[in-house]
Amino acid sequence: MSSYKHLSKAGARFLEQVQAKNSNIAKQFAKYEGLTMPEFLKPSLPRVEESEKYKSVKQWKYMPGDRVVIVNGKFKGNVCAITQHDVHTNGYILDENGPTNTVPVPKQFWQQGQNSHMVSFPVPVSQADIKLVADLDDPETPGVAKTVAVRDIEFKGSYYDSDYKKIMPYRVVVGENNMVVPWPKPEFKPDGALATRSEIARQQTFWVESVVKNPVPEAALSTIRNPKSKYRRGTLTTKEISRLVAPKMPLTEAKKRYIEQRKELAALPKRKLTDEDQELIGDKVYQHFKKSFELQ
Amino acid sequence: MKFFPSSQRGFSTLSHLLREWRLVESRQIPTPKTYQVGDSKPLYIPKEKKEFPDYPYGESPIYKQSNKGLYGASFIQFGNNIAESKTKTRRSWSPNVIRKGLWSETLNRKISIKMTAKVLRTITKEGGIDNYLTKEKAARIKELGPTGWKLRYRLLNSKEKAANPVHKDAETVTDANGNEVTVLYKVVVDGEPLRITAGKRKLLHTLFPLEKMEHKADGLDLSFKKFMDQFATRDVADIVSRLKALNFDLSTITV
Repeated sequence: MSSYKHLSKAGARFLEQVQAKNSNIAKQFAKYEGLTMPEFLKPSLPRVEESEKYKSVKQWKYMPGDRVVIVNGKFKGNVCAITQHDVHTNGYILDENGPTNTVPVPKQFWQQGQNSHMVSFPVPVSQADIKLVADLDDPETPGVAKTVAVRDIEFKGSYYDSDYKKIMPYRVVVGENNMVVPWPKPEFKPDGALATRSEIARQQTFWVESVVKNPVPEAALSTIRNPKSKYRRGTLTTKEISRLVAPKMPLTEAKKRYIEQRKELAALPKRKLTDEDQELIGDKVYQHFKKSFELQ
Repeated sequence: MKFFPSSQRGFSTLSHLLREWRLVESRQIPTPKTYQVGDSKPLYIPKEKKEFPDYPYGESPIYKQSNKGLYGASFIQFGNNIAESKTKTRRSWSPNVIRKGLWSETLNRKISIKMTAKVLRTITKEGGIDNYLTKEKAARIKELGPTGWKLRYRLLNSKEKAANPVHKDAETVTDANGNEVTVLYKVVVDGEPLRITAGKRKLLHTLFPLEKMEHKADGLDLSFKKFMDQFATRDVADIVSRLKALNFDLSTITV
């Protein structure tokens, strides 16, 4: 969708109103969309907002490959397999036993080998309309599996699933912690041309040799740290310092003379009090005290 | 403690010495930071070099026109007119500001600047604006203000340059045509003594296009800035030998 949002704020307030939760304008739009959209483009389930879309396995509950039974609507009681998730509507697309919608399709949208205007599309089904079908051990006849529709499931603990190649929760029948319903096997995906084999990826190639020495060579540091990071300010050069530091005020003639004088004075030998001088001072002090005592 | 001038003129000059510099001394600028090569860069580095040294008392935040002239640290003052009925009317006293052009012997040009009449009187007493600006007294520094400080720098700088010219002991010789030329450098290039008559800047500007052509031949580009980074700090002998290597006619710069 083309927009001029990056250039102008015109109409931004209106768009905000449309995007707001429970917006009446958005509802109006949805209504007219439904009325004007051709049948073959119309989604049967309402689209969900980005924040409400299912993301985790726990939210989806059922994965492609699971068998489910339809509990509502015209197809109630049909057992079908989930073929894929419809991420836009939080719906499940079921196999040929599930609900389909036969709609006319204009000729320009015909697929190869199509020879009729009428095409059946699978209709996504919401989570509330299906229940999981599982083969569980029959407690009455142990050892024999019984196919049942599970009322609801919950998640207990987790394990590494090698098929999904990630940590998956255990799926158990609600209230029955022992009745684990295993996840279906996902569709096999062959490794890409650039994939590394797991044996090679797991092989240990680095061994710590020294605690003191950095294992990363100095020259390689720039490849693991961003040398052009904006937080890396670098160090000062002489040129930059010359731009930071103001010039010094030259000394005036008077100041130069004063400094010279101080230097000359400092260079003079320190005067020492000679014995004669000390004698003279001592005599003066003695005479002074003597005079003052005589007066008393 | 306040001193009131008595009706009789005293011999002491104390009342003059105790001038208050409240509005000058209160505006202390932070002590400039010292930088060393290799320190981490500060957040902001100015693009241009600073032209003048920092005035130790900074700029005046009040009566800002005083930052632009020689106001002798006098500012606008405020008070009241008091009428016979004791009614107070707010008023202010501005310094007597005049615009004056005064000849500077050192700069050999007229300094046209706004100043107060009081400062003009001081300048007259000092015997010229040069003497006023370069006096070495703490009170004069406080009086100068930012503009006076800049002028002082200009004056002292040009005095310093006049006293120590770059080619102080350059000898003057007569060339083949009988013209007098100054020998700025005496260098030895490839065992041959040369007397260079061009300054370093001219040598660099002569070398740059040649050096640029050399780079161009190798498919490289050389900016003047890059060139100066390489050559500005080199000896004159180096630059001349490089010129010789690039087949430059040395007779144009030698005698």
